[in-house]
Amino acid sequence: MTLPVIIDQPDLSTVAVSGTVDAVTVVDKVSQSNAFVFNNATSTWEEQRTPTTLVFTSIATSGYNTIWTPAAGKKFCLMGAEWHLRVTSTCATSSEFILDDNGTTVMEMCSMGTTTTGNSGSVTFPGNGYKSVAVNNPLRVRLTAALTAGGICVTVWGTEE
Amino acid sequence: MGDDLIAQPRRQLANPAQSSLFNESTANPVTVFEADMNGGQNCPVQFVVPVDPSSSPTTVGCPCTVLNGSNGERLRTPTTFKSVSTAAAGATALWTPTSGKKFRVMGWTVLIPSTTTTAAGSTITLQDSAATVFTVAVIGTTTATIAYNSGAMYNGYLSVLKDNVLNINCSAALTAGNVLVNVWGTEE
Repeated sequence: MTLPVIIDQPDLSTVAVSGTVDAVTVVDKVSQSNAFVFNNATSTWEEQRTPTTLVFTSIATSGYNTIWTPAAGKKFCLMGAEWHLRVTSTCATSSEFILDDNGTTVMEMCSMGTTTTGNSGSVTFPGNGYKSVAVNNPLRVRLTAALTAGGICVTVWGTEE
Repeated sequence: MGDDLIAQPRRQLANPAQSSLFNESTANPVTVFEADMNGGQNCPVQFVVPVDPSSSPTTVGCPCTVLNGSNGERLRTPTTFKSVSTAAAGATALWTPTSGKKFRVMGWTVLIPSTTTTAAGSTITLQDSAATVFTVAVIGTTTATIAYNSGAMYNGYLSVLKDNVLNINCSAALTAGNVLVNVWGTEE
């Protein structure tokens, strides 16, 4: 059977295979190619991503704090996050810390009362993680109330595409 | 061979030594072949070589499958993310799947601040409708900060019934503070 196949090599060159392709050839080529994970929502396979963007910030301000603005025309793909709420943090009443996709909650990180003994957490999403719902959306951290001292340090990682 | 693959018998080959290619569609061509990949035990293994049309250049690759004890399954990537904050006793809906679908939990986090208190303790569970699936935290009248996550669960937990709701359940109400829970996975 003749079927043109383009195979993405690890060194980013490509190899065109055409004509009769036997199993040995395919195994050899496939063994050099990328892993795929299954997207059940679209019933398609996707290439497994590796993070290329790493963003760190420290926040104490109430409301939406943009921490990752993807390049124009791109979506962020959040593959993991970690956070550290400083033990010196205080606020007037209480505050929650939420990762936000331009208005859509991605996840709740933590919360505190007027004081805290600190809070650290992390998450590594399986597969390709959380894909933003729209291009150009920023990833933001929302604080429901401002901190009067201290702050929360947030690191996120993923890709833009 | 994978349960998902078995569900598509036209892809299976009668002769383990035989190889073949199927161009199923322009948008998502699939290559199928068999090879001895089971430690030389002559057990035929079926591969589906997918194409990611979003890649540039278009690439083919190895589909990731995981063994569930008896069958292989396609390794999922999460497409649904849910969060809820609660202090109430009893069940609070966390994830209501689309009608006719099951939720599949692929991971979770639970976060409870140190300011949380209860009258006499509370056990926090994730429930598949009313059946406990995960006990995610147990707190007393007071608590240190809790920040747990499930770690890697691969394809995780698939609900036992379509339309079941994933609930977070507090055995007793919190008198101060709250429980923050995030889950992610797929609907299928």
